[in-house]
Amino acid sequence: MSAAIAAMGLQGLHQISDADLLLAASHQDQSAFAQLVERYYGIVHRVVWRTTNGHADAEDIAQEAFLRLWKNPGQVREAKALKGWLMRVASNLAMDRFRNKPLAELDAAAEVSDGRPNAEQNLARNWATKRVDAAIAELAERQRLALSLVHFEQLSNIEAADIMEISVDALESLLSRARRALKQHLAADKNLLLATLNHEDT
Amino acid sequence: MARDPKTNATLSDRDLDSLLALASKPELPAGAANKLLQRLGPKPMIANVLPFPAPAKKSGRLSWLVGLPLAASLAAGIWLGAMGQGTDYVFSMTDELASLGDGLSVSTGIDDAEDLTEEEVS
Repeated sequence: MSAAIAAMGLQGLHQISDADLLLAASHQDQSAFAQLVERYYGIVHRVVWRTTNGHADAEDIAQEAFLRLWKNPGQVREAKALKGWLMRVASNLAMDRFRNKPLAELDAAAEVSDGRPNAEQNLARNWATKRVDAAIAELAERQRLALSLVHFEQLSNIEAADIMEISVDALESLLSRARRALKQHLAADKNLLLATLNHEDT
Repeated sequence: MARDPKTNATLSDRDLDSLLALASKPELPAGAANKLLQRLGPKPMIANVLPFPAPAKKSGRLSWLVGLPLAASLAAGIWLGAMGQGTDYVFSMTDELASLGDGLSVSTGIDDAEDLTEEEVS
């Protein structure tokens, strides 16, 4: 399998299924593993980043999840569940690492630029972004993870529930509580926030 | 599920979705994938025990030569034992050795210790 994958070159790797890449990676084929990293590193990093409120350790945690896959690919029973497995491992690692950390540390790490070139010039938007980020950071970690998976990563409720190893009903309950909590956190600045939104639309 | 009229009055679901779109978006760290791939090590376990230096290899021919006189000595011992002469020869040798010590005064220093007592010195 590894030789076949090597023969296909980088162009062909994009067409190979997760199952074949996983099988090749289990035989220490680094090019196959690199393709899996290219496919899923982004989403895993985003989920960890949101779970940890943008902490600098997000990169290390995401990498740790992939290193576990590299060391023991047999843990993934079905290749089609690979993405979910990676996100489950990564989010569990993130929650374990920050379970006993003081909230202040996470708040300090939440000061992350949105990357837009004109972000500093748009004070209103910058303020609104920080306000929303702070409201998300206030959520319980499992509510934040549920919101991250369903709202930000656009996963279905079934996929998100599978990743979190809970029932769909429990996931919907988490989402409902998360949205209610966000509304409460943002209620005090409702008018300013909506004005910012209106300014964005025009 | 019962709805909270107060929170619904403050922010609608649509507004909340619009506000969530303003949330910060993580940027993928530059070179993250390469950094990860560099961390991939070989899978075999790395031994954390240092072996002792290997002893110098002995020549097979030399060890055979060393064993030759030992084997000859063993054969001679068996032959002498079978002839009934070995024990007489060994006993005569030990008697000779024992007689060498007869009549010799052995100086142990114990008898001289009296000369060195505190009383004698003062």
